[in-house]
Amino acid sequence: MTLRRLVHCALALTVAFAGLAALYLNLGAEFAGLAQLLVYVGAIAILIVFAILLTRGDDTAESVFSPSGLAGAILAAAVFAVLAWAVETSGIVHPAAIPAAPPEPMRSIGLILMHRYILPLEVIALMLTAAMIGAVILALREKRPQPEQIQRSSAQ
Amino acid sequence: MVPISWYLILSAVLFSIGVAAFFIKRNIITVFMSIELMLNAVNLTFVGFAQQWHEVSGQIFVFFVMVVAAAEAAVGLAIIIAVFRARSTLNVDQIDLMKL
Amino acid sequence: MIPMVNPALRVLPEIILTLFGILVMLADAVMAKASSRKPLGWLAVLGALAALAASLWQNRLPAGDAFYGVVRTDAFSVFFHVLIAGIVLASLLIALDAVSDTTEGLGELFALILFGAVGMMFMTSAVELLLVFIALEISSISTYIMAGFRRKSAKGPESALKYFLLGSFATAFFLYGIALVFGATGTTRIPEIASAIAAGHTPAIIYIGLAMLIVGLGFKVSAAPFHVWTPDVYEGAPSPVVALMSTAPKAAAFAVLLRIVYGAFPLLHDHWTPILWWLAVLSMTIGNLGALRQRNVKRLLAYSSIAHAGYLLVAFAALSADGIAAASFYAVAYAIMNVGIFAVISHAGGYEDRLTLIDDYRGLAWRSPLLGGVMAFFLISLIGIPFTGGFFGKFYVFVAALHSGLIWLAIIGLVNSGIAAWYYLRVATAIYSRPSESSPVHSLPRPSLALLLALVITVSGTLILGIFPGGVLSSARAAAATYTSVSPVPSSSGTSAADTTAQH
Repeated sequence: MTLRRLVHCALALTVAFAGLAALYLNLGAEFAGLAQLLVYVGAIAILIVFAILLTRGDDTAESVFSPSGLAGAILAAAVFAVLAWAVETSGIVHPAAIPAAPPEPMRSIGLILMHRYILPLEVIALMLTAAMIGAVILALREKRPQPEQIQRSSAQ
Repeated sequence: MVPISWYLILSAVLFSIGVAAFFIKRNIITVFMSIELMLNAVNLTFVGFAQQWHEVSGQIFVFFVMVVAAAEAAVGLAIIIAVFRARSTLNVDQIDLMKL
Repeated sequence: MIPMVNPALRVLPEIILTLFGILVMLADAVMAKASSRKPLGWLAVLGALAALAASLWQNRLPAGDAFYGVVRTDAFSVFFHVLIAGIVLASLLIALDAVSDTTEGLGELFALILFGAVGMMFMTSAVELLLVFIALEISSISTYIMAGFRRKSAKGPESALKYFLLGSFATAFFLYGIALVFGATGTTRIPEIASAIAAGHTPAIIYIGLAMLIVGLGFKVSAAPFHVWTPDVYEGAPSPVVALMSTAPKAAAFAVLLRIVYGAFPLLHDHWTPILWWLAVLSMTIGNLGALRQRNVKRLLAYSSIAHAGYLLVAFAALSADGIAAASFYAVAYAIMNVGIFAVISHAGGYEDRLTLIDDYRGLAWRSPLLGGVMAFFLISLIGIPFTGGFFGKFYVFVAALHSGLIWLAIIGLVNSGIAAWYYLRVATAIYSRPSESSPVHSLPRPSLALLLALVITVSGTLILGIFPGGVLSSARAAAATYTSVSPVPSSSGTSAADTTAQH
């Protein structure tokens, strides 16, 4: 996150996503790991790169060591200190707690999704619909003024 | 095996980096990426705790968070593109038509 | 045992709204390109009416869970369902009045209002944090989009952007809070969290998790110090949308906050009441002081909404059934008068916001006695003068605070109400002063049927709350009473209130 070039930031983020996927697999969470690979590395990273492409030419030069940077770093350190303290004092250190993965994790996830969490599953479909409508509305409307605006912005 | 608390600490590190980047970075796309990083930190916490409690519901949560993150990404990037068209800049400091 | 109820009936208002939303979208796709989209708005109004009726009907269902303990209908959820359906109804009418036949994306706007309302309703009835989160996201995402709907002005996308970035930031905090609570208790169901805490599962992460949940919701209700987005977003979003998003998502987020702190964490009240105390004080003070400096009416109302969030939090901190009832009552009173005042602003300023500054409203009452009078009436109610809903709202909140021994909080609140009167009166005097010759005079559009309906609903609502508050208050009390039964913990809000009183 300290990299200057936007594309480098995006690439670093993608690597972080992939690393997290590996960690999930290591934790015995195959479902989450594979979904992470598909959704984050596959879809969201691509979306971000596309957004960078569509808005290219705006590499904001910035210094990391600005006053606001210092404030941000202090804030982050504070947040981390509190979280780390909480985790350490909560006594969640069970090296032996990681069990052999349940025999059919995928199957049980599917069953739970279709039983206990059936309503959230239905409701999230609605959310996706709303998001889709919104994204289309915001990004694709006004077809005619669009080329002029791009020309104007590239002329500037 | 690595103790679960290490995963939780790593997730706290990721979350803190996300928070810091949210305030430091001046480019909207980077600010947006920092939010994605925070959501990932949350996911890691969920997976870690799911293992600790032997509860599959933690993984279910991760699944829903991913769906929501994808939806947010679509909407967010659409908004970013709309802003870029209107203002031709992505610098947070320059998007300030509405100050006192 | 509770008799079996078809689970679909427990989510009936949501189903109705979803169906009408889809119907609006389909009709929008089928209609000829050039034809007016306003009939779709009336279709959406019909949907909101049906949802309102369904919500009222739900009162006759026995309280209980459905869908494997994910949603719960009880007096509390019904109370907020009715409120949200009412707000959506009024906002749709306002939108119908403000837009013209050629406004872009009207069909989508109406559909998004309905979809967002589904999210808000689920927020109030969900007892599983997973569904709370998803519902919160539905309502947030549709409001982000609606905030950016006015794309001709550069302020529209900017407003959406600020709302989106800070909103998602808050969502991440909310989620991390859920994750930590899940880690501490092993469950995400609100009643089970309460019983896990009662069983002694209170590692340090649960306190951090609770604090993060409060931070996340603090953003959504725009309580100070998490309020920075509010003025910009209200200024850039279309007025009918502001009428909706300054009230309905906030009422829903307050309902979630009530469910979480009273439903899941009643035993940890020593830890969350100080947080809410400070949030209340900061919100009231920053909101009112910020409003004093504003010249733009929508920004002024944004700061006023921050202050009103503060008054509501006073009732939260009161830690008693009376406090919950007062908070619920206040949510209704504030929603009605705020939607009302935005109805006037939206009509006078139009979809494109022709009137922005307080000076632009100079002489409104001379040009249109109806609009000016109604706006002054709502301003008076926002101040909290008797015979309006605002008076009883504040009255119950401060009485609840005093009963719980929060004397300082009540005093700070009263001082703040005094400050607030100053800037509301400034607007009111501008409305009634003679228009200056130099200022350009825009012709006011003729009030449409939709506007008149919206004004009748809001004015009569404010008057009824101000003169006969008993009906709504007793429903609010019934809603509050669910909290003694929701939490399986013996020490419910009632007894903990006694504890705090004893401490003082």
